[in-house]
Amino acid sequence: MKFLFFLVFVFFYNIVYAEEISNTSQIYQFSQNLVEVSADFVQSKKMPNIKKEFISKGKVQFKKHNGLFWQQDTPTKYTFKSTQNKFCYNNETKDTNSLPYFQEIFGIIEDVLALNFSSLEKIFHVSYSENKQKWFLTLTPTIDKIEKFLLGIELIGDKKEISKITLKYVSGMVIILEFTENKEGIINEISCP
Amino acid sequence: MKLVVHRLWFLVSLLFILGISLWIKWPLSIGTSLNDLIPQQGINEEAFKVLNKYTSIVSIIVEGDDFSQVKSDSDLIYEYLTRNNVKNIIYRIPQNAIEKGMDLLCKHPTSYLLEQDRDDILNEKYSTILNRSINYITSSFTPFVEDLEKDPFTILSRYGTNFSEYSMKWIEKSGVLTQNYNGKAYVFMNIPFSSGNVQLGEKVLKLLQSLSSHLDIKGKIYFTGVPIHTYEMYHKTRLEILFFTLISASTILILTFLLFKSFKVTTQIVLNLAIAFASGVALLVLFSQQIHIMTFVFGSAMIGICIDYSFHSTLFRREQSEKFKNLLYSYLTTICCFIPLLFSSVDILRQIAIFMIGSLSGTFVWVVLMRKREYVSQLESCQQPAIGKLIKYICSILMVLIILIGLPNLKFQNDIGSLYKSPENLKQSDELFYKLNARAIQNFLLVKADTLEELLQIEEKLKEGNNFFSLSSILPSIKKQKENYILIKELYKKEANNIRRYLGLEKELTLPKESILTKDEFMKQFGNEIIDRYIIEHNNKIWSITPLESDITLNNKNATLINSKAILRDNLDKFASEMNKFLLISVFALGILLSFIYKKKVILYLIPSFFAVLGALSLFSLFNVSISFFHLISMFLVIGLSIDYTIFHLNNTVNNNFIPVLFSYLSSAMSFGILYFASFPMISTMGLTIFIGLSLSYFLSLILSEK
Repeated sequence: MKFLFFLVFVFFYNIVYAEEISNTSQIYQFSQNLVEVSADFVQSKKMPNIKKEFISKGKVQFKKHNGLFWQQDTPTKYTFKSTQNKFCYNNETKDTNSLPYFQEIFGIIEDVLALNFSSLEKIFHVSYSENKQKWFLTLTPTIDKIEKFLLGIELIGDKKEISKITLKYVSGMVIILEFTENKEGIINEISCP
Repeated sequence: MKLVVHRLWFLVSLLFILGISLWIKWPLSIGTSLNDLIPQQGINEEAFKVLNKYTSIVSIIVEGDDFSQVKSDSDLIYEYLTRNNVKNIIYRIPQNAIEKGMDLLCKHPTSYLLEQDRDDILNEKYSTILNRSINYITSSFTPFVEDLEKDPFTILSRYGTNFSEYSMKWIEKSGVLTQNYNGKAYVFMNIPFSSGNVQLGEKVLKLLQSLSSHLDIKGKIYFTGVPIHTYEMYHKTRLEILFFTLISASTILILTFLLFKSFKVTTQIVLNLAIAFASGVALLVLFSQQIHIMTFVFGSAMIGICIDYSFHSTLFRREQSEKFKNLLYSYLTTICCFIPLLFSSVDILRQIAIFMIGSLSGTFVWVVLMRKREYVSQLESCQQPAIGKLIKYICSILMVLIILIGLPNLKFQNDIGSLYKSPENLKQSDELFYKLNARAIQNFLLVKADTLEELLQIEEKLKEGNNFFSLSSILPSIKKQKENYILIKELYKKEANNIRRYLGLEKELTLPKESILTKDEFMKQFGNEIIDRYIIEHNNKIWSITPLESDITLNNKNATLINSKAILRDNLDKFASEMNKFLLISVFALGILLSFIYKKKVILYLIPSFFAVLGALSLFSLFNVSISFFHLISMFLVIGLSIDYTIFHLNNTVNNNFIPVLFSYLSSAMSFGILYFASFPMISTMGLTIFIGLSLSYFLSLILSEK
């Protein structure tokens, strides 16, 4: 479940109160250009009371209305794919019915891309700011079930891409994802067997 | 005078037998449950009873636009049902069940261990667990139940995550089970029943149907479950018995009046039907433990058969000995075809056979006692139409062609669909129920024990080599918890330093203290709700019932796996192949019987019935209808009933059998044909098959006769 909420925030770039986002804002321009995203990522995980940072690396690809592909290469290999109706882990298809919130989360991702603030505003409080080079989006859950485990999400990007996402958990765990664009693309089609 | 005395004796004896039967067996046990239709050969009867008890639940699903609306509606429904003395409604569940579950894991960190981890420790593959833990920690998508300092090997986190796949789609919110689906919110409640209590089902159904008029419900209400289906079946069956009986009886009376134009004769025939019914019931009550209501639905077709003897006996002047001989042959051959059903493993078919044999015997004896009475019919002058040779050849060729094309393409299929179909008004509820609970439950695992500890230990033993979620997954046996502590202690001894170095911890890792989770603590945390979902008491034993999506290997005599659909299908397949053998034996026995009577002409007497059976099967094949066990059963009746037509048509030396046989055919065909409209596929199939078989046999015997 935590992963699915993470998915929301990876592409959660334009959830602001309508009056704060103008057509000239960088996040708006980013959303307009978005069809497909391919990126390499470096993930740093910090656990409470543990000094060590746990680093993992991999690739991610997202296609609008088509799904998500996530591949971790180090320290261990695995793949995760999700479409509208299915998800699979290491190419083993799972039933979305086994994740009660799956349809809702996938719907949220689509709402984000379609700039559907009305449904997203029910779940998050959003603050947005930008400077000349970058935009900054902070998301704070307003629903108690999400508030119980998630403190907030911070996204940083520009007109072309999201460069960093930070997820902070109530338990004290912090996950930082940094992205660099992968121009070659990763896979042609996101599908589960 | 002598005959009058005999008739009186017969009536008195019949009433006496009926009275004694009813007195011995009173109150009569009338079976109404669908489960009573399912042959139970090959399964543990006690386990099946327990499963029936467990699945005898009415499920209520409340639909609304959002959670607050649907919760408000559900609260109203719950209070209304409770006020009307509906007990034991499962509606409220412990709040924050998931958090409480995680809390239990953390309070008893050495009680839970995945099978995979257990096996690795037992096989001293400690480094495998270490690597598994590291993979889990570094993965992007893994939730943590406990801090790494307290759970460095992520034993608890992996245990909790492993069972997230088994979580139902329903989630707890404000103390009820709820789900969002297709933009609507749903809340769920269950009313458990003792198995198949029709009166209770009727009461609850009426209450549920009256909800909208008594309460201000904003959303929609759906309800389903075995008790609801049983009640619907019972209610519909009662109506159908009445309807079919009225139609059959009315048609018979009209036909009778057309033949004789005499109220006196019509009254005689009505009396004959009453005797047939009383004889059938007397025998059925004497020889059956429990009579299923479906027997009477089929029994309404008895009207058409029993009337045959009245027609043949009452009509036309003829030699008494010849009349008696024909009636006797007809009676014997018909009985001969019902007798194999007495040996059927399907209870309802045995009941149908007993009922029909009783009815036929009663009506035959009465008709013989009434043999002096003769009436002239205005239709006496009607002669059998002459059928030209050309028409005979064309019909014969057509029949052969149908058989040649249809027979090789025969398909056999036996499943629940051949037995029962959901009524339309419950279909929508059933479909919604399955969508909202979309797990492909194939089997139920039933475990029996004297105590809860013993039951949990049996479940845990069954999990060796099988992976499934059950009560012991959240409440391990005390024996298992103690074993787990020893295993985790061993893991810490071997790998604690390695994981500590990996995590970069300065402090030494210490093994958590052993802490046993007891049933009392579990109940304190969750109340009865969780245990009641899995445990049922029956005959002073405790049973756990676990729905499973796939087969597992059983290695314990106190564990039973039940897959009702597969059992039904396998049993019906087995019975169908038994029936094939019985059919051949019946035809052979009939052939032997007829050969004593008709000597070398026996083949001629068998042809219409034989080809009627093949023709009926071929027609079904041509219309792409798969043959089930119930089609095959019907063939017995086709042979038994249609042999009469052949006997009377081929023995029609003085041309006075045509009208009686025609009316016999019309009454039987109509009685069985109307069963096609029964709502139960089993009855509908048998009605249609017999109708087609009788029709083919009648016309074939007509073609074979001299005219």
